[in-house]
Amino acid sequence: MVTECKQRSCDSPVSQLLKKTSEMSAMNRKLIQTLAETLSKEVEHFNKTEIECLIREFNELLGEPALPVRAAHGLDRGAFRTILHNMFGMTDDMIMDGVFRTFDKDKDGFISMREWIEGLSVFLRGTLGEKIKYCFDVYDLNGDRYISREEIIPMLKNSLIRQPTEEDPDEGLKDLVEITLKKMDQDHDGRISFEDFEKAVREENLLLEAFGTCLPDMTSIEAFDQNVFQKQLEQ
Amino acid sequence: MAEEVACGFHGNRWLQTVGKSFKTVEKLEPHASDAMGVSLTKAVQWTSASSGTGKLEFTPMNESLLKEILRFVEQFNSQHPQEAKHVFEEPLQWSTTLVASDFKTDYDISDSDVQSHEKDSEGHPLLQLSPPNVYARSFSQLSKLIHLADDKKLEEVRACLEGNRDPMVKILGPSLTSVLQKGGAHTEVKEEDQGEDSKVKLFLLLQNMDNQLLNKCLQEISEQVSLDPAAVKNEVELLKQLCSEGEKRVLKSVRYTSDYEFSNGCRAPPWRQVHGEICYLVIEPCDTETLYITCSTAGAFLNGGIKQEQEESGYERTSDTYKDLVTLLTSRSPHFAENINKQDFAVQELPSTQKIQHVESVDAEEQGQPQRSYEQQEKNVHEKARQQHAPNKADGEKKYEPCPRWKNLGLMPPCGKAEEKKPSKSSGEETSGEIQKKKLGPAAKSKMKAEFSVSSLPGRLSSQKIKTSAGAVPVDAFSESSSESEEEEEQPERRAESNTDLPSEYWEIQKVVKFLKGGDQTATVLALCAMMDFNLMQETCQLAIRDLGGLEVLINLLDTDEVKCKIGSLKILRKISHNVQIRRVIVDMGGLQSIVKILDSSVKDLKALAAENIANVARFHRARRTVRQYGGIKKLVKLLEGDCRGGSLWGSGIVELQQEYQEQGGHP
Repeated sequence: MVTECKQRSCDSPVSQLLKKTSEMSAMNRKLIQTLAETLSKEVEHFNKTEIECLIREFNELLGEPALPVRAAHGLDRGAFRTILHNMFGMTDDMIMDGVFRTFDKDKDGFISMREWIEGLSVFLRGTLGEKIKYCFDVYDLNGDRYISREEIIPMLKNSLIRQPTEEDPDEGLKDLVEITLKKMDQDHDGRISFEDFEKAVREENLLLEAFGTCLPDMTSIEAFDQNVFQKQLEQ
Repeated sequence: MAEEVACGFHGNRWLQTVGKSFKTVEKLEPHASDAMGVSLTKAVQWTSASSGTGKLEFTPMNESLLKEILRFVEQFNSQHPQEAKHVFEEPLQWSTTLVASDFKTDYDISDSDVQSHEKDSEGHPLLQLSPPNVYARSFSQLSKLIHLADDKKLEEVRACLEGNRDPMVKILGPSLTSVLQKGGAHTEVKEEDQGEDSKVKLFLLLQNMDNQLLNKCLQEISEQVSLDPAAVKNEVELLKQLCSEGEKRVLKSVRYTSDYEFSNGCRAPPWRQVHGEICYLVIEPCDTETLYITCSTAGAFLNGGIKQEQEESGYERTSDTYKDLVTLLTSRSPHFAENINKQDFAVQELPSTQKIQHVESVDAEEQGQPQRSYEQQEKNVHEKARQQHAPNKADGEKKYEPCPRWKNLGLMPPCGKAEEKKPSKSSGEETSGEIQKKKLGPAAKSKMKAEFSVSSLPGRLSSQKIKTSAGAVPVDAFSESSSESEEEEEQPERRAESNTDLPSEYWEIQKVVKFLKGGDQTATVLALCAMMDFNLMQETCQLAIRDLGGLEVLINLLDTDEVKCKIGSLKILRKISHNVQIRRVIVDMGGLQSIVKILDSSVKDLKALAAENIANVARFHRARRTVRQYGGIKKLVKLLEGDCRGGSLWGSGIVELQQEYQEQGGHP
């Protein structure tokens, strides 16, 4: 079987394990435990048991009808978006793409086991600082470390109800974009840098998800806790 | 935005707006010099007398105006099909880039000429093209042509305007046009024109667009520059009073160069407003040559000799900038300087939101006994004066007194409900601020002129009503003081005494409220965050939020499931609920009930915010009753017991609620 050597993870024992585990269709308990043990030291917010559950969940999700070859690498965009939609109630395409992009750290088009766990760590339980970074990455559509007008406009496009009487339906959108930029662009260069974003969010926490809901709400988190962590434990 | 000083739009009016807003470059025509200084009503004659072929300058303001006009025309056919069919009095004619091959169905094409199928009652086509000239006689044809022009749309609009300097005359005919140009909403349509229903409707549509263009223009200006015309106006009024015929006069004459006042109180054309210029004056002192003065946000200075409105040149500054008109005149006219000090004066404090202007007035009739007369005025004014300052002639300190000469002009309700006269507003001296709003379209019951005013008395002066010796406007009765006691009893809605001037954020508030109403959670949260930046503790702002429907939305948000929206809403409510009237509305609308429900939330922030709001709102009995009714007391007590933040956060309101709770014997 051809295995691709992912740059970053080529060397560490964990990644070897990961590769092995993802290649195997059935994982034995011991393997999972070992893996979880190692990961729990590297990932914040989850303990060993929880990581075990996450691994199992991951495999279950992968096990859904998908091409065997692809399944080996991780969750692809479509599968991941389905998860976001079903588990966390997300509906905005652009945002979901952004979340995928942010989870997929090595940009290979798949969410590996590790990316899954690391991503969820912030997604479900991140500190404010971690979440700020996460959200910024989601909104920075082109990855240039700035959120610009051109990126904000499509993100907010569907947030406003078009008034039928308005002569220019985009006028409201433009206004909203300007108002937001005014609020968040601290260094007044017409775009929001990471520093701008962080400062603005720390001043007003509500702005964390300013351009779209990219984090789960309390209900989803609780449901996930229940379904994944507790249920898995019972098995 | 660098604006070159171009030639003014000499007396040519395509709607008041365009005429005043567009900058054009004039080709010098023989009649051009006649045209300078021609007033609005004479515009029509001028147009027919000359064939000015000026061009529109490429400025951002012009561009955005052009786009607005384009939009208007584009959608005309679909939005107003009836009026679109109306045939113009005369065709609009211009040099087009379109050719015969651009035209498709609905047109007869022969060689390079095109004629429309659409014809008037005499069988003449409503559109004719003989390249490069095109003649169009209805909006439906204009609309169609624009669509055909595709990406050259804007050029076509530009060419049309350049080719038809007074299109309104061509569209509506001279009589309606002159009515339109006189401006204002109370335009009377002559009988002969009334019979033509669609013509009248067209007229109204054009008037509406005119107003919108004007508003947009002024809005753009207000975003770049903050102009303060009120102070200038006051000073000019004062100076005018110093002019008279007799020996004692201090000045010979004072006049504006322009009769027309924009809705933001300025008289300078928009492309000069962006430079901070407010108006231009011509002042004749007694002892020296005539002074041509520009009043701007930086102060007053002499200009290059602007005599009439829409001058093409003369805007340059030719002197130092003085703090205000009086200072300028004092330095330029020794006679003025000498005599101004001899006047008995009272200084009027202007609204605190605006520049404080020293204003001096001469009480000609009561000269020699100003003190007594002022006292008399005061007695007439109101029973409970909030502040009594005896006028002091001797020193130059600022004192606050009503000046009998100040005209007391009518009120314009600032919000969209133009019909209602809000009881909470009071009349006062004339001011303007950035008060032109989109809602005040043609339906607004005000003329866009100097009479447009809103009370501007600051809280301290509020009880001193201004009464003119001519008895211009009846004094409004203020109610008693509104100091908020903890135990305030429910009082009938009374007039606000404090500053009811429109906040400069009025525009912004309106926009933000719109987003609150018509957006999803993301947009709503953004709007709420934007709203937090407003001056939420200022009464004018608070009332504006209420008047624009914002308060209602904020309360509605409390009933949704969206945590972030609730948090945002409560954050704003806790600020604006410091206002007694807002509190009442919250209770009346059932807001208190919603807030009490939020106490059940598991989100800590929400609970805390809800409690804080209840503390603010529950300062009168009916509110407390409501809280009790909905089990609020129990919940609050639970919170207090469980949460160590309780005491510091929630203040005396909670203590009172506790008292009530105990009074009720523990059974709320």
